[in-house]
Amino acid sequence: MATRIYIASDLHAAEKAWRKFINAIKANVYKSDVALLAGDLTGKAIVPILERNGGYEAEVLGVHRRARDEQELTQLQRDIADLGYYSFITTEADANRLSSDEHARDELLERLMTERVHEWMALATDRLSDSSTPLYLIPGNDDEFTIDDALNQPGYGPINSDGKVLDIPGDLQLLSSGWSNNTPWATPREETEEQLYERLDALAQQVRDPRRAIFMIHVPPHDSGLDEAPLLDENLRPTISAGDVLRGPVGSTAVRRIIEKYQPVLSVHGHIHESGGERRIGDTLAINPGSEANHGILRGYLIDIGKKGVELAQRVEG
Amino acid sequence: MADTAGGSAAEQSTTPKLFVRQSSGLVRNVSVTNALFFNVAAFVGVGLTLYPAFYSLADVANWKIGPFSDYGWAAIITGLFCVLLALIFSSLTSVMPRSGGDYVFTSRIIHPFLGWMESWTLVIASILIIAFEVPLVLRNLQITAKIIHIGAGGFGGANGWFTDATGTITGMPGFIASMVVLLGIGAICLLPTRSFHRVVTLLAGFGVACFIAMFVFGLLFTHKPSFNANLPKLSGGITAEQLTAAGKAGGLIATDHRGFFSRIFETGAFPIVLSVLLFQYIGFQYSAYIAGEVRGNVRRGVLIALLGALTIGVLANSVYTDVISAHFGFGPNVTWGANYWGFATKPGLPLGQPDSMPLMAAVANHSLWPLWALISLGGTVFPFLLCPVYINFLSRMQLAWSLDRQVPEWFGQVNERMRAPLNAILATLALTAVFLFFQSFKDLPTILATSDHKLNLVSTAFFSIAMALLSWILPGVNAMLVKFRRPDLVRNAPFKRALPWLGLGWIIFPIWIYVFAVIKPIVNGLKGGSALTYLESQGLLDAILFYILGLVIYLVMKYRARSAGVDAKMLFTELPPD
Repeated sequence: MATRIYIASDLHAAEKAWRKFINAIKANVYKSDVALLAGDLTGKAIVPILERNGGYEAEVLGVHRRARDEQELTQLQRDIADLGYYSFITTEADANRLSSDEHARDELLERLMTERVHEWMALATDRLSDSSTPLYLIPGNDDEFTIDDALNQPGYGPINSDGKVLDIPGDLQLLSSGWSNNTPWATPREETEEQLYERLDALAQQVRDPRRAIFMIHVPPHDSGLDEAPLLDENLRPTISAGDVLRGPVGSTAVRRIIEKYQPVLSVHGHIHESGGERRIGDTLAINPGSEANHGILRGYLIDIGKKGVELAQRVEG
Repeated sequence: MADTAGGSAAEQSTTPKLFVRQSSGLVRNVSVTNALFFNVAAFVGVGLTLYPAFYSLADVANWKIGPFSDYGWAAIITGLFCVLLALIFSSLTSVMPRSGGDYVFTSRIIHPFLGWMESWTLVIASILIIAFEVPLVLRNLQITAKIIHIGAGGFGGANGWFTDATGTITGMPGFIASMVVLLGIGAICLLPTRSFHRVVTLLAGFGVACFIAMFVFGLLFTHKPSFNANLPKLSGGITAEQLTAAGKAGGLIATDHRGFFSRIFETGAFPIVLSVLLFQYIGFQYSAYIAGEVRGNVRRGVLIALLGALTIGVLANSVYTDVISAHFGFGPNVTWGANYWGFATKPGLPLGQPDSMPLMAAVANHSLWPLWALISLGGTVFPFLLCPVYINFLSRMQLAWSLDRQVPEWFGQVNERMRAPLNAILATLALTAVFLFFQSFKDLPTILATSDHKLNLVSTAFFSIAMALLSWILPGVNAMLVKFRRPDLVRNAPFKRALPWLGLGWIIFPIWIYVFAVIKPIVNGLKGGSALTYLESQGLLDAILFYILGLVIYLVMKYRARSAGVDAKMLFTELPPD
C-alpha cells in the first residue's frame, strides 16, 4: 500500500487558501497520509483601512472599497486577508505618518505576520485535532525569523520541520529546509550557493536511505523547469519583449547538486509560483505545486510512494 | 516570491493605500502598454488588414452604407459585442489568471469535459487558421514579386510560383513551398524564449511600420484615375468598370436599396459576414490570457489593454480597410476578391492575384514600386508571424491539458533547452502539415470531400469557424454560471454582479451568428437535397469529425487515467474555504 503525500506551497498569508488547505486535510479529501507545506507562509503588504466619514475605506487592488458598519468591515478585512495582504484600522494621519517611517512599517508588518501565523497554527490545531494526517511545514526565504516562535510553540498541531530530518509515515524520512540561494530582494532566509550546499549536505548526511527520503527544500533546483521566473532588469522590473515577460531559471545550483548527489525518491519545492510542475532529475521526481494562493486557488500535488518509489504524481487544485 | 500589485500606485498617491514590504518579489508586473501591445500582436484581424479581398470571403452581396462597407460595419458590430467579452475576460482573468485560458475557466466552472471540448476545438480551429495563413504567406511573396515586375520588370513568372495549372497554391509545388514556410515557422517556435520574443518583436515592428506606410503613402501618392487607367494595361484588359459591373450582375454587390437596419438584422447574408469577422477576431480571445499579469489597478489596466487592442482591431478592419479600398474603388475590390476566392469567374482575376493594397498601389503608381514591395513584404510578415505566436499560445493550453491528464503526460513535457512543451509544439506543426497536405492533394475520401477531394482556403476558413463554436459561446456561459458554480473564486471579481448579464449579452451574438450563418444554411442545404456537397464545401463534415475525435480522446484518456489510479474528480475538487 503506497503512502500518499499531499503537498502545497507558498500560501503567503492568503487566508482562503490556508483554510482550503486545512479543510482538505480535515475532510481527507485527497485520502492523504501526510501533508506538506513547502514554505513562504507570510505576506508582503499591508492595506491600511482608514476610519473616515463614519465608515471604513480602503483600496484593494486599485479598487476603492467602503465598509459602512462592523459587518461590512469584517468582510473587507477578510477580503484583504484572502489576497494575502494584512490590514489594520487607522486614521489618515497615522497612515501618512507610517508611509514616511519605514521602521514603524516593518514593525507593524512583523506584528501582523506573527499574529496571522499564530491564528493559522491555532486554526490548524483546532480543525486537525481529529485528523490522522500529520502536517509538516517549513518557513520559506520570505518569512521573517520572528514567526519561528509561533511555528515552534508547543501545543500547536502542525510540525515545523525546518532544518531537521524526521521520520514520517510510510517508513519515509523528511529532510526540510526553508532557505534559498540569494535573491534580488535580500530576503530573510537566503545565503550563497556554497553556504546553502553545506547546510543541505549536512542534513542529507543524516538520511538513512535517500530512496526512502523526501527532500522538502523551499527553493527548486536550478534550470529544472520548476524555477522559471521573470528575468529582471536593473530596476528589478521584469524584462518585457513583444509584450511578454522574458523568463529564465532562478533556482539553486546547490539544491540541484544535492539532489543529483543523493537522489532522494522525491524532492518538494515551492518559491517560484508560476513554475509549478514535475520533472525528473536522475531517479528523483522533483515537484513544485506552484501557487495561486492570492487568487484563492489552492494548488497542490498528490504523490503516492510505494515500496519501489513514486507510483503516482497527480496535480490537484481546489 | 510574490506579487506587488498596486505598489506603484501607493507610491504616487498622497494617501497611503498599500504598504509594500522591501523584500517583495516581482512576479505579475506587466505594464498596461506591454499588455496592449501583446494583445494587438495576437489579433488575427490586424494581420489581414492589407487585404480587401476579405470583403468577399462570405460569398454574399456586399453593400456600402455611409462611410462603411458591410464588412466595416460587421467589424464595428463585432467589436462592440466583443467589448462584453472583454469585460468577461478581464473579470475572470483578474481572479483566475491561468495558463490555458478558456480550458481552465470552463473545466473549473462548468465541467472538465466541456473544458476539454472547448479547448480541443479551439486548438483545431487555430491550427486551421495557421493552415489558412501559410498559403497567404506564399501568395504575398508572389504579390511582392508581381509588384517588382510592374515597377522594374523581371519575375514575369511569379504568378506560377508554388501553384498548379489553375494558379492556385496547391498540388506538389504548393505543398513543398508550404512545408518550407512551416519549417520557418517551426524554426522560430523552437528558438529559446528570449530569442523567440526578439524575433517576434522585430518582425511585428516591421509589419506595423509597413501598415502605417501603406495608409500614409498610399493615400498621398496614388489616385483612382491612374489606377483605373493602368489596371487594364496590366491585367489583360480587365477594367475597374468591368469588375463593378460583373459584381452587380453576379450578385456580389447589392443593387437593392434596403435601409441600414433592415440589412443589419436580416438573417441571410449579414450573419455570414459577421462570422467572417469572428474568424478575424479570434486572436483577441487568446490575448486576454495575459490580463492577470497587469500590475496596479488590475481592472482598469486589463480593460485598457483589452479595449485598446479591440479598438485598434476594429479600426484596422473598418476605417483603414474601407478608406483605402474606397480610394481605389469599392466595387472593383469586391469583385476582384470574389474572383480570387473562386466565387466568381467574370471578368477574371486581375493580375492573377488577390486585391492587396500594395499591389493596387503599384498599379496606380508604379514608380514607387520599391515602397510598395517593401509594404507587401510587411504584409507577408503578419500571416507568417501569427503562426509561431499561435503555436506558442496553443502549447500553453496543451501543457494545461497534460497537467490535468487530458492528454498523456509526455505530450506536455517541458523540454530542457527550450523550456517549452516541445512534443506539443511538434504535434501542432505535424497537424498543420496534415491540413496543408489536404489543401494540396486530392486525397480526402469522398465522404469528406465530394467535389474536389481536398480542402480549399474557403472550406478551411469555414471549418475553422465551425470548430470555434464552443470557444465563442462558453465564455458567456461561464460568466453566467460562475457566480453560482464557483462563488469562492469570484467573490471579489471585477463586475461580479454584472457578470451573468454580460454573459447573456455576449452569448446572443455568437448564437445569432451560428444559428443564421452555420445552422440555417445547413438546414437549407439538407432541404435542397445537396447536403453532402454543401457540408463538404464548407468544411463542416470535417468539423463534425474532429468533434467526434475530441469526444473519443476524452473518453480514452478518462479510462486511461482511471486505470493508472488517477482520480480525475480530485483534480478540481472544490474545497470549502470556511
